[in-house]
Amino acid sequence: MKAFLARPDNKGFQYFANWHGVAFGICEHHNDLFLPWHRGYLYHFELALQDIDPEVTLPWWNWIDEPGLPAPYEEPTVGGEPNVLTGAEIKPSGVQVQPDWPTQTVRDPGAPHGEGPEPWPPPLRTTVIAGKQVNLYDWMMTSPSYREFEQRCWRLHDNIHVWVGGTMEDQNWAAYDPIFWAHHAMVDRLWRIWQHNNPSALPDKDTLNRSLTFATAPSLKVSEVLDVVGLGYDYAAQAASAGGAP
Amino acid sequence: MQRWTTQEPLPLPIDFSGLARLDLEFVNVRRDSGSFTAFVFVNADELPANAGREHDRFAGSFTVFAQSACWGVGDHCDWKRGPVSAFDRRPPHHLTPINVSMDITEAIDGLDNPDKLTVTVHAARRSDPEAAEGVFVCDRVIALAYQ
Repeated sequence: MKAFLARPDNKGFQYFANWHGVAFGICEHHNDLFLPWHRGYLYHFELALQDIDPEVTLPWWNWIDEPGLPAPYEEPTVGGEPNVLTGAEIKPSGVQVQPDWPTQTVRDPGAPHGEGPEPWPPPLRTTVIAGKQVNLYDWMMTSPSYREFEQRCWRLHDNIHVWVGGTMEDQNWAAYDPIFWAHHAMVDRLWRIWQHNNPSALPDKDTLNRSLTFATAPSLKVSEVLDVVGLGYDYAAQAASAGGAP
Repeated sequence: MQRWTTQEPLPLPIDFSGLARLDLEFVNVRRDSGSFTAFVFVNADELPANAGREHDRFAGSFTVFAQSACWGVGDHCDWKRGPVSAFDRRPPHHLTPINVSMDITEAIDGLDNPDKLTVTVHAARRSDPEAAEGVFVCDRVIALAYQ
């Protein structure tokens, strides 16, 4: 990750962070392309990481079951060196940088800022609404159609962005925070689980044929990102191994 | 925090006892002036600013992840601009307003079969909690009743 962050070309972290808001502005939100576009985004990002280390895969932040921010993204140091997952520089490319633009990511998780409404803090699996226990995970996972799942999923996704606060709260800059990628790996994982349980619930035909815009080839159609195994990964719930025969 | 209430109550011609489901749909919610969280209350006359999810007239909430401000020049963030010609195959503007739908069936359970629905929204930006206007903007709210 350290080498990826430092890489100044179009295979480095900054280049990919540019895609989302400033400067390329090609992300998709609150529509039928939200899940497919971000899956393709993760695909490109992970391949670039694997150009540096083929063994690397993206971790997911399980904000359904775990409170707060993941420790690996909060620890100030790792092995005596600054932890690169706590934040990153913001270096837009291809545009004229304005004096009031942020130059470094910041976070402000969860702290109430006033009397008004606040997003839910993780974990989001269950919550209490007007005295009743509500299972948000089941609410999302029992979505009867792709479109309904996508809408319920973006509700939880948006909630986490705003709960983290700071850079993550702003669509213009969110992807510059390293935790953005673990957040979206979780969103992608939730979609994968829902797909596993609803294999015949596909996006509509027009959506399946739509092309997703990325700043690097290949462009992908929505139909090409439905199968994560075809993109070279999957989300294991558990892993176990045993030694081989001598 | 912004407080918004329907100017006129929404008439509900269907008797509550005959309802299978009641949705609220907020039409053309803007997402060009910062992320926000909204709490939605129904038929709540006097709500303190800190009314939360435990309030008995709380109907639901939603958070919208948005951009804080336009980072371009001129019409960069003018989502009202459509295709420039019949050959313009670019996707809709990324700030095109969205509809947010909310199932409030359970929230109306405790109400005494009113024939009108007043919707109150409290909305706040974490980055600017004192903002009292322009936080939550939509064109209208629709009540969709299913029998």
